[in-house]
Amino acid sequence: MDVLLIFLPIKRMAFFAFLSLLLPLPPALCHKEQPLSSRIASYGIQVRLDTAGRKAYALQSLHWKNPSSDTVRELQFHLYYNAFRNTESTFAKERGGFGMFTEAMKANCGWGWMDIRRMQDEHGNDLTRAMHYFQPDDGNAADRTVLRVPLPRPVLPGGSIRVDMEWVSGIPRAALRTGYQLDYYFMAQWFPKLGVYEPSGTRYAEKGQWNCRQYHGNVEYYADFGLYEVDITLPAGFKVGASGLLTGVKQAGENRTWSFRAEDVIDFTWTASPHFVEVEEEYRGIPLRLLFYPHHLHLAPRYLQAIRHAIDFCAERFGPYPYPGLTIVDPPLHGAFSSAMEYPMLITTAAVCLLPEGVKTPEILIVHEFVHQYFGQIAASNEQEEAWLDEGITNYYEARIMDEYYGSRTSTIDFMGFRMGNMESNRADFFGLPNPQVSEIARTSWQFQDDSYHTITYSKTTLLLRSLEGLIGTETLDEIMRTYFERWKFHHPCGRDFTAIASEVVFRKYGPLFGQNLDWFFEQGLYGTGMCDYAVASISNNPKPARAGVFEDPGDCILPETERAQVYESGVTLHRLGELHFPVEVRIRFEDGKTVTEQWDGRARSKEFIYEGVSKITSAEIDPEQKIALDKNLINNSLSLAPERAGARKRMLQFLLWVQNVMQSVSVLV
Amino acid sequence: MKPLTAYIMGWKASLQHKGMWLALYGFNLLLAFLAAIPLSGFLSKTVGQSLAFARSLEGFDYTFLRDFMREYGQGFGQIVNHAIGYVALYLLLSILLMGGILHVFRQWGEPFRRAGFWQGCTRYFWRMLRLAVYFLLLQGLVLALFGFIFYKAGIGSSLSELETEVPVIQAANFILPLYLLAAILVFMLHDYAKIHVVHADQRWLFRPIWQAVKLVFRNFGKAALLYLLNVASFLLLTALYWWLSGLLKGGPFTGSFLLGQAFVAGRIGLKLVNLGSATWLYQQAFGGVVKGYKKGPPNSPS
Repeated sequence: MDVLLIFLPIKRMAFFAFLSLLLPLPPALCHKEQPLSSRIASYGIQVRLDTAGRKAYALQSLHWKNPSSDTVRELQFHLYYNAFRNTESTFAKERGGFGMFTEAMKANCGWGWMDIRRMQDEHGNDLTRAMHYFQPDDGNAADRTVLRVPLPRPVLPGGSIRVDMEWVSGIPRAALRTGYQLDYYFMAQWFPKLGVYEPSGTRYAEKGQWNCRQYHGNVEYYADFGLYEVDITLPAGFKVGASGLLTGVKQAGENRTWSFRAEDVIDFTWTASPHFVEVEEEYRGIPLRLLFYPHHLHLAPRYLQAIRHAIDFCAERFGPYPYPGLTIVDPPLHGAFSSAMEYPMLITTAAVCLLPEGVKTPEILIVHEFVHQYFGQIAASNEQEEAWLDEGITNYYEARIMDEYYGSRTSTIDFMGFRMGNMESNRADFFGLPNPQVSEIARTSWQFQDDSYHTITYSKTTLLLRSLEGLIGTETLDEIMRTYFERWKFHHPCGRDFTAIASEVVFRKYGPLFGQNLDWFFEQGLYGTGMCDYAVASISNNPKPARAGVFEDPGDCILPETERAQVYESGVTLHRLGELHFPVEVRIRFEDGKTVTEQWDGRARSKEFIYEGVSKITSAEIDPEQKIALDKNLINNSLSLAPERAGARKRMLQFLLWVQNVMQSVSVLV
Repeated sequence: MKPLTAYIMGWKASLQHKGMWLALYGFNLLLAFLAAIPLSGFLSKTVGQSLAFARSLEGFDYTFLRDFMREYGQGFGQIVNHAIGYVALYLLLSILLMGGILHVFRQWGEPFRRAGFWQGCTRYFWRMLRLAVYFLLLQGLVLALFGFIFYKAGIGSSLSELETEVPVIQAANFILPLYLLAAILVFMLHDYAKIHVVHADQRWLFRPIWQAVKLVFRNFGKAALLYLLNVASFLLLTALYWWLSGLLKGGPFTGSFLLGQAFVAGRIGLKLVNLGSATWLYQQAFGGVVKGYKKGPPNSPS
C-alpha cells in the first residue's frame, strides 16, 4: 500500500509534523561513537517503488550542517533524474543522446524526471514556492538538474537546518547508469541530493560558495559525507542490494520494506530485482554480498578472487577498508546500463555467462570499482572538476593490482595466444588516440573534446603516475598515496593538495634530488599536452689514430707502431624528440661485455656520451627498465650495431606460414 | 561400405599422384614466399636494430606490436595488401588447377601425365570459375539466412532490448550446427558439380549443378558420410598440429616452422583426398544414375 496516499489528504502542517516523527532524528543526536566523517549532509528517506507505473514516491528529510563561518541563505540540490527528462538536457546534449537506449526511451516514453512536490524547513516555512532551477555551468534553460532553494531563515555559521520534502520521480528506462529495464532496477542519483557548500579555503574556493554542478555526461560525484537511513518499499518478490548495511526487512501485505543504514558516505545507491541470487562471504572482516542473475552464478569464484586481491592490496597500502560491508552487483545483460560503476559500499561489474577465463573484464571492473572506495568515495575529490583525481588514480592502481595478481602481460586478455597486460592496454589506449595532445589531464570534465575524456583522464593519468613511480620508486609512490589518503579521507581534496603531498613525500625521502618540488613534473604531465619520445640517434666507433711524435721528452720520439692495440673513440648520440623531459638512464654495452649506465637529465634536445678504449660500443638503450611509461615509442629507445636479421627472418617465416594457411583456407571455397 | 572404400580410394589416388600433391604444395609455398619476403627487409630496415625487436621475439609482445603498428603500420599495411594480392592469385590458381586435378582423378590407375593435367586445367578453367562464383553466392546466401535466423531467434528485435545472453547462446548452440551442416551440404554440391563438369564435359553449368543436387540427395547418406570422414580427417590433422606445436613451444624455431609446413602440406593432401574420394564415389556409386556421365578420357579440347 502506498504510504504516501495516506498522507495526501492531511493538511500540510500536519503532514510535515507527522513526517518529522516518522523520519530519523538528526544524526548528530543519534550517535555516541565518533563518526568517521563530519557528516555535513545526512538523509532519511522513505521511498516506495511503484513497479507498475515505473515511479518512485518518497518522503525525504535532510539534515545539513553549515561547515563555514558564512551565513548561508540558500540551498542547492542536484536533481540528476531530470537529466533524463528529454533530449535537451545538458547530459543528453553532451553525450549526443542516451546511446543505444535513446530510441527505446523515445518509443516507450521512458524518460526520467523528478518533481519535488513539497519542501519545508524545520520551522515550517514552505520552501516550495521560491525554489527554481538554474544552470550554473552552461546556461542551458532546458536543463533542470540543479535546484536553488532560497531560505527564509538562513543557516548561521556552524548552524544547521532540517529540510523535509515529498517528491516523486519517473524512473528512466535503461538510461545511462540508472533506470529500469524489465524488472531490473538500478537506482543511482535517484534522490534530491544537496550540493557541497565549500567554505573559503576549501579546494579552490576563495570565498564560501555552493558547488553544485549540472549533471554532465561523463561524471557525477561531488557530495558531502553523511548518514543515510533509507527504507525501500517494493513488491515482496524483489531482492534489494544497496549502499550501507541492511538493518531490517518488514513485510506489509504484498510489499516488503528493506531498511538500510550507511554511515559516512557521500551517496546512496540501490538496486532491486526479483531474479537476484546471492552469494555471501566474509573477507578480512568485511561482509561481502554478491548479487547475480542465476546464469552468472558460476562466475562468483572469479569475482570473489578479484575482490580479495583488491582488498588485500588496498589494505596493505592505504589502510583497512573502513566501511562495514560491500555489495557487488553483476547486472544482467538488459541491465548493462548500470555496469562498471562505483558507489559507496556498492559496486557493479559486467560479464556474460560464457566469458572465457582469459578475458579479465569482470576482474578489472571489480578491482577498479573497489579502489574507487578509497579514491573518490572516501578521499572525496570533485569528479566533475578534477576527474583524474579519482578516475586516474584508481585506474593506475587497477593496473598495478591486475598486473601484480594476473601477470603484467596477461592481466587484461590471455586468450588464444593473444596477450595484453593492463598497463599495456592503458598505453595502447592513450597513444592510440587520433590526437593524444588534444587535452591536458587537469581539465573540467565536460570540456574535453573529441571523446578524449576517458582516455586522457584514465589512461594518460595512469601513464603519468607510472612514470612518476619509475622515477621515485614504487614504495615512494605508495607512500604518497597513503599520505594523500590518510590526510584527505572523508574530506574533499583537490589536485593542488595531491601534488603538494607528492612533492613533500619525495623531498622528505630524496632531498633536492628531484628539485625542491615536483612542479616540473606535474606541470608537464598534468597541465601540459606535450609528448615524450626519447631516441638513440646513432652509435659511432671511430678508430683513433695511434699517437706519434714528440711529447714530454723532446728526445723521445713515439712512433705509431709502438702503440699496438687499436683504440676507438666511441660515441652515442641521444635525441629528445618530444616536448616532455624526464631524467632517464642510458645503458651502453661494449664489445667486451662491459656495460655502462649513464644518467641523463633528459632536458637537452640531444646528448652525446663519448668513450675512448679498445672495445667498441655495440648497443645503447635509453630507459632500459621502461620507467617512463609516457614515452610514446619504445622501439627507438635502443639501437644495436648488430641488426637482428635472424629475428626478421623468423617473423617473415611466421608470416609466410600464416599466408600459406590463409591461402589454403580460402581455396576451400573454390 | 562404399563411403569408407571411397575414402581409402581417395588416399590411394592422392598417394599415387604424389607429384601433383608436391606441385600444389610448391605453388602454395612459392606464392606465400613471394607475399612474405618483403617483410624481412622491412623489419630489418625499420626495427631490426632495436633491442625492443630482439626482445619481442621471445613471445607475443603487445606493447611492441602497438608501437610497431603506430610507427610503421603504413609500411606494414602495404606488405599485407601485397600478401592479399597473392592470396587472390592463389585463389585463381586453385580454380585453374581444379580442372587438372579432377581430370587426373577421373582416370583411375593411369600414371600422371603432365600434359593431361594442364589440358584439364585450361579446358575447365572458365567453367570452374563460374561454378566457384555461383557457389560462393550460395554460401553467402546460406550465411545470410542463418545469420538472420540467429538474429531473430537469439537477439530479437533489437540488441538494446535483449534481456539476457542465454537465448543468444542457446540460439548459437542450435543454429551453428545447422549452419555448418548447410554449409557442408553446399560444399558437397559444389564438389560433385565440379566432378560432373569434368566427367560429363558440359558447358552449361545448371545441368551439372542440378545433377549434383539429385545425386547428393538421392545418396545423401553415402555422400554425407564420406564428407564427414574428410572433415574428421581435417580436424584430426589440426588437433595433431596444435598438440605438436605445444610440444615444440620454446624449442628452436626451425622445428615449429617445419611442423607448420607439414601441416600445410597435410591440408593440401586432405583436399586431394576429398576430391579423389568424391570422384571415386561419383564413378562407382553414382555413375549409373548421372545423366551425361561419360567414362574414359574427356574429349579433345574444342
